[in-house]
Amino acid sequence: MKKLLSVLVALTMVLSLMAGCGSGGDEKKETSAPKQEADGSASDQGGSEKADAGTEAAPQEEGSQNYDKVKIASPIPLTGPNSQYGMAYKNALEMAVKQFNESGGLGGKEVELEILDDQSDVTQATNLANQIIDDKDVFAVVGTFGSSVGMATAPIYQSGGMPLIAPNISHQDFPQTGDLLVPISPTATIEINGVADTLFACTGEGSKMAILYATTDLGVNVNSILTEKWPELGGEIVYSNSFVSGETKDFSALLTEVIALEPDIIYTSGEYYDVASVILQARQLGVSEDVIFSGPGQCFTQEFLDLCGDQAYNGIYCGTLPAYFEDVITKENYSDTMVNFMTDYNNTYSEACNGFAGNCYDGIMLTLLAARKVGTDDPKALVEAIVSYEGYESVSTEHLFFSDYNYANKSLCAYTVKDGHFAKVEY
Amino acid sequence: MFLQQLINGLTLGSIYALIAIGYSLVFGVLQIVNFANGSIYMLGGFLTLVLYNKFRINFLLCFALALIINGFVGFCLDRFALRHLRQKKATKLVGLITTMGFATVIENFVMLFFSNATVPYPNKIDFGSFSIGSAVVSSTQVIIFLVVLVLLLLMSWVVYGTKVGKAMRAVSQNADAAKLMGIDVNGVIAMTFILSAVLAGISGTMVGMYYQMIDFTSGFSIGMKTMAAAVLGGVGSLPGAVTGGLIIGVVESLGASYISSAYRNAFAFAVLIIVILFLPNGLFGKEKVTKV
Repeated sequence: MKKLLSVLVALTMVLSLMAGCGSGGDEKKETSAPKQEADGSASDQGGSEKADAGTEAAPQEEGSQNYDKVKIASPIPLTGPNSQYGMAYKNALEMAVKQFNESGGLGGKEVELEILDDQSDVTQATNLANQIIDDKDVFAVVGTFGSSVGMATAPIYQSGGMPLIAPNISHQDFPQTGDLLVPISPTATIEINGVADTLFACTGEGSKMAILYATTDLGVNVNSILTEKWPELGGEIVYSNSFVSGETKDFSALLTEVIALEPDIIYTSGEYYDVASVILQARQLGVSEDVIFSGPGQCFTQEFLDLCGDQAYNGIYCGTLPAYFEDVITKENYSDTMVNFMTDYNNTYSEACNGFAGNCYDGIMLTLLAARKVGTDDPKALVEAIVSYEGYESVSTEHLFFSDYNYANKSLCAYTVKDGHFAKVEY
Repeated sequence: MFLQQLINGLTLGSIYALIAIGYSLVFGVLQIVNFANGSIYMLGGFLTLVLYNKFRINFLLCFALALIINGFVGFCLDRFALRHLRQKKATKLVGLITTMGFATVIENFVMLFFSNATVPYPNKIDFGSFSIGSAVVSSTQVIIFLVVLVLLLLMSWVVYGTKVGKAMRAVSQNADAAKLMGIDVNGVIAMTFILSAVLAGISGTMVGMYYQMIDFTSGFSIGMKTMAAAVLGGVGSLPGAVTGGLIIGVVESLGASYISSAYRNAFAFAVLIIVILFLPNGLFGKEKVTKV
């Protein structure tokens, strides 16, 4: 009996280890749902009067442009595992289109928004993509959530001559997949390089960094870029080790080593609870009060603040998106556009404003403004107008621009935590 | 630094030990592995927190209330699931799978009604820290040590020094013979489940305070490791469970620090596999003679 038990136990453990590796794979759902026409009425209930987020100036130099096509298609996950992000997209899309039409639309014509449910499913998204490129009225696609769907459908749009503006694809290979593809999120490489610059500006020459990274694609990428870039800047990497995000609750073994090396800054790449665990456990192990804790944009949540309590002091948390808190996004810190966007969004919708909505709003608004400039007939010209658009005031960053044709760049947002609230770091 | 790693490992290990005792007790009387133990551990931690946040009364009182509820959940697992299976003479495997199902129910219950995010946990036993050489020891660690030590002595006394314990040992040797001697076998089994759930609840609360956070998935991996601890020490043996827990905790900490943290779970299970290869009954397990 005991032998059988031991075999069983050993088997279970092996299985459990493998289960850890397998999770987070593709979440497939049987699909059959046909396209869903979004009814714009549902979301308009809030009493937002100032429809103008201040982004768009008066209709510019139109007249000669051709606006035969007036439809934007948005395949986003309205059902399925990522539906919460899809809903944020939907809200932002409808808000932007409404504002754009109120400000004059495309030469007097109203832009039509067609929201389709791709369920975050590659098969469904592929079908939708083929359907969209056959639609003669559609001049651009703003949508797709996540890299797996985005990377699968990008070639279809590219070969179908359809510009794809993707709010949240940070996959390294996305921009170079085609010249009609425009990501609004910087690639991971661009972001982490920015993080390194920001942190270095805050800590200064010769500062010693310890890195704890999750064993995910992103974590490994963060580690390799930081270990290369930090010494180039003039700092020193004293420690680097990985952990399994979500499963590792006890960081004391790693932190004991880290603390013995006396770093100036401890960077944790992982989820908000990983960063919080590191901070709390390091303080218990008697880490020096001068050590700066740092983490990614995933920390910009109320949950993170709650977990850390009063222990999060002396931290710098950097991401490409701002922390959409009412006490952070203020007119002293950010542009009126951004503040107005957040206020409008929060007044109109029951869910709080977040980075997904911000990116999506930027994506569609930039597309519409570019279309107003160059018309909707020529996909290539439209994309060129988007990536070279001057004077657009982003709602998801202080400064949005494109480099190397279609690589998105954003100024980083860095925050520290003071008295349980995020506060902007000037560097 | 080695000393610090050892202290970290022993803290972790003593928590494993406490939960492993629960495993061992249940295995002793029923010969089934209780997969729900990890979830009951997590539930115990959550119950204390939820009661405390809800009523904002004395933490110890909430803790005690949570333990009572947790004990009741353990009782329910036996009374409404496993007892029926025993009456129907179902195989042990069915019981084992039932406990897995029970674990899923608990986890989903917590996710739906308490929280699906990682939530903060107040550390009520944090009275600062002191250092031994270069190592820092927090009061939380010391209290966890002491609580585990007291509970170990208490459990040893219950199992080896009281009538209930005698009944437990009798049931574990031969349930039918125990019944003939007038022992209320179902009562003893229920008692064992309650004890095991209460121990798990104590661990859950202490770990919550130690890490200052808790989430609904935290039961699974600790459940696996404590089962490894129980098997390593020899299932059914109390000193075995304690030794197993401590060994797994220390190996995990040292492995994570000196080799790689990404494989910390692998170290714990590797020790188990190696020991079982040479000592199939675990460190303290007695070879069972199967008489035909």
